[in-house]
Amino acid sequence: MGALEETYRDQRKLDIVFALSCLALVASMIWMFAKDHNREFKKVQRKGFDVEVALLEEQAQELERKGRDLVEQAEKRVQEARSQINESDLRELRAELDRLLPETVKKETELAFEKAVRDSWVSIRDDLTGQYENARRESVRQSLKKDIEEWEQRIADKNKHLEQLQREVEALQDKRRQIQGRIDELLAEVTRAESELKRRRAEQDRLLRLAEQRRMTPGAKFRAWPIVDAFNSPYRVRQYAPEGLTIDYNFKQVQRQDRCATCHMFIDRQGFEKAQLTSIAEKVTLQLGEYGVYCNHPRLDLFAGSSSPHPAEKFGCTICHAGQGGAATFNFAFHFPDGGKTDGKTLESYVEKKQRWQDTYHWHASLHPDYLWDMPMIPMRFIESSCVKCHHNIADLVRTSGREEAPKLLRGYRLVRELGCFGCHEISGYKAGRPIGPDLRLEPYPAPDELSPMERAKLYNNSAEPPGQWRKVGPGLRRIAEKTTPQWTARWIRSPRSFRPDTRMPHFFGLTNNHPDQLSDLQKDLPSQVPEEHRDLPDAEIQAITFYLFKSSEVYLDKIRNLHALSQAQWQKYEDVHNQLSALDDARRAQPDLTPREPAPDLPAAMMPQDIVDKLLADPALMSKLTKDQLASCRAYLQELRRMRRAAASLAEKPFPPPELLVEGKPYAGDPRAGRLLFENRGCLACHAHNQIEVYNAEGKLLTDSGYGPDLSHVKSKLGNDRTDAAKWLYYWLTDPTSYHPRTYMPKPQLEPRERMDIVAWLLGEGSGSPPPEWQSVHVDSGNVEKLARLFLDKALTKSLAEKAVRDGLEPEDLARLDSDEAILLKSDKQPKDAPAARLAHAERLRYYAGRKTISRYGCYACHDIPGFENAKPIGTPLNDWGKKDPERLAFENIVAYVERHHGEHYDPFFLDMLREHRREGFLYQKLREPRSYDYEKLRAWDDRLRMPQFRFAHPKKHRGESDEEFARRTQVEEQQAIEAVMTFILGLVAEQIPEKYVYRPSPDRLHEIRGITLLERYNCIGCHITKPGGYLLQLDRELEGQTVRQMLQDYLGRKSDELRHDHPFYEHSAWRSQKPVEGNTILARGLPFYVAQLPEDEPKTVTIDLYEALRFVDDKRELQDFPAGLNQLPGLPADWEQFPPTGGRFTEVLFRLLAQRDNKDLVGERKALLGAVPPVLYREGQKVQPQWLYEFLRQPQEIRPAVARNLRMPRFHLSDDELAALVNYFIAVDRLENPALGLDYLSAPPAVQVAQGRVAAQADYLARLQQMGLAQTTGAGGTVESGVPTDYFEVGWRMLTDTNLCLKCHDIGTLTSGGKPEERGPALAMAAARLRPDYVERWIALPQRFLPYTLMPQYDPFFAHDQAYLQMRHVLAQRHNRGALQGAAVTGLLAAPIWPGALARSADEQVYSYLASQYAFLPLEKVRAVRDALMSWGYLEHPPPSARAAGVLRRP
Amino acid sequence: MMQASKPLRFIPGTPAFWVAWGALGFGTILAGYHPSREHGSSGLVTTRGNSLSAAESLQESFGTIRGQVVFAADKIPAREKLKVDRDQDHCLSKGPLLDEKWVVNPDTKGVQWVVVFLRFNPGAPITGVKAGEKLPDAVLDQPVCYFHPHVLAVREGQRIVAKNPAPVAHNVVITGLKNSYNIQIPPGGQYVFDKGLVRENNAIKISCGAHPWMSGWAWVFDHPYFAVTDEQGRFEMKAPAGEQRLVVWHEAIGYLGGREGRQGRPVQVPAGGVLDLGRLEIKPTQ
Repeated sequence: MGALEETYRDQRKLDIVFALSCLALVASMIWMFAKDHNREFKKVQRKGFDVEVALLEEQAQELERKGRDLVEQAEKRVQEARSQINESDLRELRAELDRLLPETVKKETELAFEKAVRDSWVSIRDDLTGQYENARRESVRQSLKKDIEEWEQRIADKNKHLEQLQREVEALQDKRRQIQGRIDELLAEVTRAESELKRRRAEQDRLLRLAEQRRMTPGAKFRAWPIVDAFNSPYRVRQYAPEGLTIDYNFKQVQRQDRCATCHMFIDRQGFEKAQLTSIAEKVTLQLGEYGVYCNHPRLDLFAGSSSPHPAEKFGCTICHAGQGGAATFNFAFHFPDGGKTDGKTLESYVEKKQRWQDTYHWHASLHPDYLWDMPMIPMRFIESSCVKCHHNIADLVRTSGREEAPKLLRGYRLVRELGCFGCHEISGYKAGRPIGPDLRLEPYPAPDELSPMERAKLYNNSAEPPGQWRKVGPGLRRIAEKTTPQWTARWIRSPRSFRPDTRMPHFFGLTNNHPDQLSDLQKDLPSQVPEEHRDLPDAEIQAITFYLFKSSEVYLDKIRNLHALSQAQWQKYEDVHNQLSALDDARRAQPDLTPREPAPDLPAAMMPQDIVDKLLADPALMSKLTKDQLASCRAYLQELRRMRRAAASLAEKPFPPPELLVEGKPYAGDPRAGRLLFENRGCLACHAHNQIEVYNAEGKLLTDSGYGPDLSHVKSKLGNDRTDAAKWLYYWLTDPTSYHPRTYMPKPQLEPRERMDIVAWLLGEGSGSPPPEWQSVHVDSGNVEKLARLFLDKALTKSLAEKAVRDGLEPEDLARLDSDEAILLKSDKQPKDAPAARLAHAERLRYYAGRKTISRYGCYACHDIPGFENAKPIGTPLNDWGKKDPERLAFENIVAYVERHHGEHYDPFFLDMLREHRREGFLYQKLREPRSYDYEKLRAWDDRLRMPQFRFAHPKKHRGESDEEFARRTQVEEQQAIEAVMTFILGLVAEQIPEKYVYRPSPDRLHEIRGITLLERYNCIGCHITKPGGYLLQLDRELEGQTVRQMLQDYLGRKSDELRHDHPFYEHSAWRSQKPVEGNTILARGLPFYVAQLPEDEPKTVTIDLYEALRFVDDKRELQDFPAGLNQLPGLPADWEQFPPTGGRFTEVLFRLLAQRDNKDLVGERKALLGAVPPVLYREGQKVQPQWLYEFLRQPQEIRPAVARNLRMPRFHLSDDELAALVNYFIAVDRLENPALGLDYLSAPPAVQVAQGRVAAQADYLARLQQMGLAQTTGAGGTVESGVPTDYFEVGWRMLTDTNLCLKCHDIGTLTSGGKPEERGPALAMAAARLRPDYVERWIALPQRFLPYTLMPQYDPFFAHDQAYLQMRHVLAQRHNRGALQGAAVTGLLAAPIWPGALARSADEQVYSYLASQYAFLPLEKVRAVRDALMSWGYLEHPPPSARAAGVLRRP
Repeated sequence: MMQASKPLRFIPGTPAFWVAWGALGFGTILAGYHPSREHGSSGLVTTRGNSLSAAESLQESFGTIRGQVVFAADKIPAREKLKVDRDQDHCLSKGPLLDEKWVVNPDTKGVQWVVVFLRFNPGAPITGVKAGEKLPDAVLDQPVCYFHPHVLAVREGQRIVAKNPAPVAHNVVITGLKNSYNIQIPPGGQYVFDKGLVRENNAIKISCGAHPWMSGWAWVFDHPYFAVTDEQGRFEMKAPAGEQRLVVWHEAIGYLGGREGRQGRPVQVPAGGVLDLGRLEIKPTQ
């Protein structure tokens, strides 16, 4: 068959199909392009480019204008400069210059010509010389020699001529140069202005080029067209892939891809601040939400910026913000609304923002289960919680400058620490030996400090999990029976805040699940016994707890008494048994087979350790029969006995009044007024508050509210009504707090016996107020303790046994384990000998049992040291990784119903949503707010109910003049803030394994610093001392009253004496020259604000600070200016500019104000004296003191400054050796000292041993240095100093030191005393050699105020004067009395000649000579050094000079 | 720093020095200064009342304010003896030192050491003074352990010579909001604040660290319209004509008129004439 014309299918049909499919394809392509063109991110980017162009154009215009202005200014200056030139002078000079030119040229040419002639002659002579040397014949040689001599002569003549010419030429050139110099001088201003103009023109060109670049190129515009943009679009997905940071998909770790920068295009770019966007908002019609899209990241210096520590390329975004990084749409990224802010001002609330998102993005969709993503974005209010992932120490978020970079997180961390959350909820920083987060764990019992060095080493050597470091936050209750009464304790447990509103102790009772009035409808309707439970059981619990506490305390005290009563010989038996047990343990470890597996018949398993020990005492041979467990428990028991014998005697054995208080047989009753003064001055107020002493700062904020220790306003009602008992307890507590509770943070106040009694008299007398009125209504009934006990027994035992236990007690056979709590209920004859319950009646045992069970249930031992709970485990959920806990595993129960019913409108909608959506944040918030509310409408057995107590996180105090409503409102707000702070910390505990390179690893210096910061906070050192000055961010370009800050600084600096600006050659020091590079327009001024009342309302609120560090800035002329510290203040800074306060020093200000009030002193004019009387600022302490000295001082503080307020003294802290060393290292580390003192390195090892050696090394080193200087031999001829005035170096130094007009005016030196009142005196100088570092001494003597602006130590002019008059006086002295006049022998000769009338009148006065001799013998710096070396050689000199001997300097052995 | 140009004059021991400080110390301590007469004048009456001659030209733009500050209560506070417990040999050599807080003339009841000045807008043109004009030195003396003058009123930038003619060392502690010094001056020495002090809106305390009873005050103005009252409580100063605000300050009571008094009270200065305010009364408590 031939080919057919026909096709198999109808061509026409096919054409149609083809055409249609083409159309369909085209349509789908168009649809595709359209879809692509309209992708969410492309829309965002399109507008982003508009924004960028608009912003850049704006900037370009600004730059152009600025450039023009700059050039105009410069041009104007050039013209001005030109107009001031004296034209005729210039003309004359130029003419002169021109006139000289031909002559100069002529002479120069002549010189060159003559030189050439001379050179040719020289070559002729050389030639002849050569011939002469080669010639054989004598005659030829003779004639050649003659020729040579002739030429020599000629050359010599020529040389002379040349010299002459040379001089003339030089003279001419000199003259021309001089004229040129004068011309230059005349034109100098013009030249300067011109070069400035040139520079500014270049700058303008640069700015213009920059502006040009910033406009979008036509190419890019084209590529942005639809369809075209599908190919090489300027719009594209931008992503960061931070290496090694993964997402945990449970089974697989997947690399993070963060595409956030696709829409947040300018996140890491300068110049896209929200304020800048506002300026173009109209031009590109920016919507409210778009500010957040197009602005850059705040604090580019810290985040996202390429030079910041967290560049976006390296860290990505989701590591901090969470959310789905791979998403490029709004909803898939899992944004979460949290109220919008711009420049710190709230723009829209959470509800508004949420509504807007729902309207704009259909945002609620992202909460749909289909979208589920485990890690939605962290709401902004908790964003700081992300810092915890990498900053495990938390304290490393405090900068060296004192600035806190994550204030909310830090606050939360401090609150968790102060409130002791970690007592119940373990917060361990280690997982499988690897650090995963902050480590807040309780220290083990017994505390490491109380262990032997070997045991301690064993504990610390476990690097996988070193022991916890935190003490329990509550007071120890081991000796509570001595301190207060059961009645008070019961009421306190019922309602602590009724007694002391700001106590940290939370409420356990009267809450939603154990208050009779707080029953839910469900509970009320049920015919159960619920109401009855609510009435009976809480009081029963309280009574039982109280009973247990007092009984166990009494038993403990009895035991101590008995142990104290043992004679040394009797005690030795116990020690022997212990030693033998230890030896046995070691032996068994070597040979494990020796250990019996089963208990011996005469030592049954049920036998209590105390009984075994008794048996062992009688028969040590039994020892070998002990099982491993028995051996361990016996050892532990004996160690406990040892600790108890070491513990202080119980109060019952102590006499009161103590013998030291007896005056002629009569007891000293104490002077309440003196007591109050002591309370104010000694530093009690640094930690304790008292409502009779209230000091407010300039803003009306209460300062005497440290919150560190308890408020002592009505401590009397706590200590019981028996005045003697109370006084006794208080007296001995003040004597040594650690004897009452070894782990208390209260330092030993170092009070004299009478002073203690004074304070006691005040606190229990006039200084004791009555508790708040609500305390009166706190009652605790007897409750049904039996029912409570039965509740516990029913769980532990069978019903019949439980009944038996309640009825008349148990038999040992009834119990599986005799160390269980139920053993308390054994019949009295079956009780172990030493058991606390042994001496109780049956009913009491039931109480005791109920108390013990209740304490276990509530976990009271998490905060308090309670006998019998030494090693009990924490009761709460560990928080190590709570921040990523699966919300599915959180029991939300009926919480939404509860909240809606009880709070309704007043509940924060943000958290209500969080609760509704079952998010962690919501759960945690409500848990902290009302922990028991999750029991709402739940039917639970009494002991299954929630136990977390009700905390109060913030304790605001009323400001001066604040109304009740304002205060109530503020209280609410502050509580909310505090809860959010705690949440921020807890949400950060995610225990994520972050790759090493992301985790913050502080340098050794920084690590010491961080450790130190923690300790300074823990012991409240910062309560008294300011450790760092505050900071003030100065924006140099901002205007202030018509001039920029830069101009203000310049102006102020210009008005200060030059001498004060450049007054001493210690340029490298931070007090003279800022060590920080100048960056941008913001500089950090560091200083202390004056504690002054603000000026009247009509003046703008300003701050004036004393600068503690030099300021460096670029002035208008673009030159670096330094603003040295000390003598310069920064006045008039607006109070609302960004600043951060000094670290610590609340008490400093309290005492400052108290003293000012008391002595009616002016806060500004007399601030120096006032500040000299309060605890010193510890800034630059590391530069100042030697580490050994500091170590010893911290261990045993002694008086240094007589000038501090009467009675103020550093208390003695209960610090371990490690902590002492850490504090010393802190001070060295913050000053970044590489060589802390005299060549000694860090105190890395526990320095107790090093101290003595260190001092010897320091002395040797110092002497070696002196020898190097040739100064070691100090008598006789002595060394010579640079000035050439021969004298005895040390003698002069010592003369100045002992001059009553100099050092001795205020300081005591050895046996020489300065006189005057203590407040006028400086520290005794004998300490200096051991205490101070020589280089510090040198700077300090020269210019003390540079270091400590408030010091009363004056600046002594001749110590740094470089003055003509001074030098002339030296000359006069030297002329009159020869160069040796100042040596000791010539004293009388010098005095014979009248130098000044006073000298004549008092010619016999040694002081006059002393003054003059020291005055003029040395150049200023030499003097400073002489004094320094005299001071530092205290006791080291082989042969002290006469004046040193007079001061009582003896050679040290 | 000592004065470089006339070194010998200030060297202890040369007769010139002693003549100089002796004359200055007890005679005319605070030399007034002569503003330029080019465009009018503004005079200052010194504490001792040795008034400067007023300018002859351009009288119409300036007037004179004068008055007398008197003590308004009946009982004139007695000047207490200061507790001198150091360097008594020298400090008490001229008799006991008396408190200078209230120095009231028993006859006229005039109060000495009151500062009277105009509240002058910062930055307002100060006519009558040539820019950059050199002001004469102000002297702060410490003859026998007290500051003289007790109240030092100076212009900003005016050189201040702090002297110590005594045989004991003093230190001058100046503590203000913008000025902070603590300078030890050796016996017979002096210290020159070559750029003076910086203007402050408040009184600046002067004290001596070694001798706590020593007390003085300084006022630093950026204009020349101020005066300190003499023993009779009298003051006189030149002021620009027109409405001005006059402030009166005394160390014990602060501003006359309390907080409002800080802004001064309006006075009308007649051009070329004299405004005699008569007796301005101050009470020991406001």
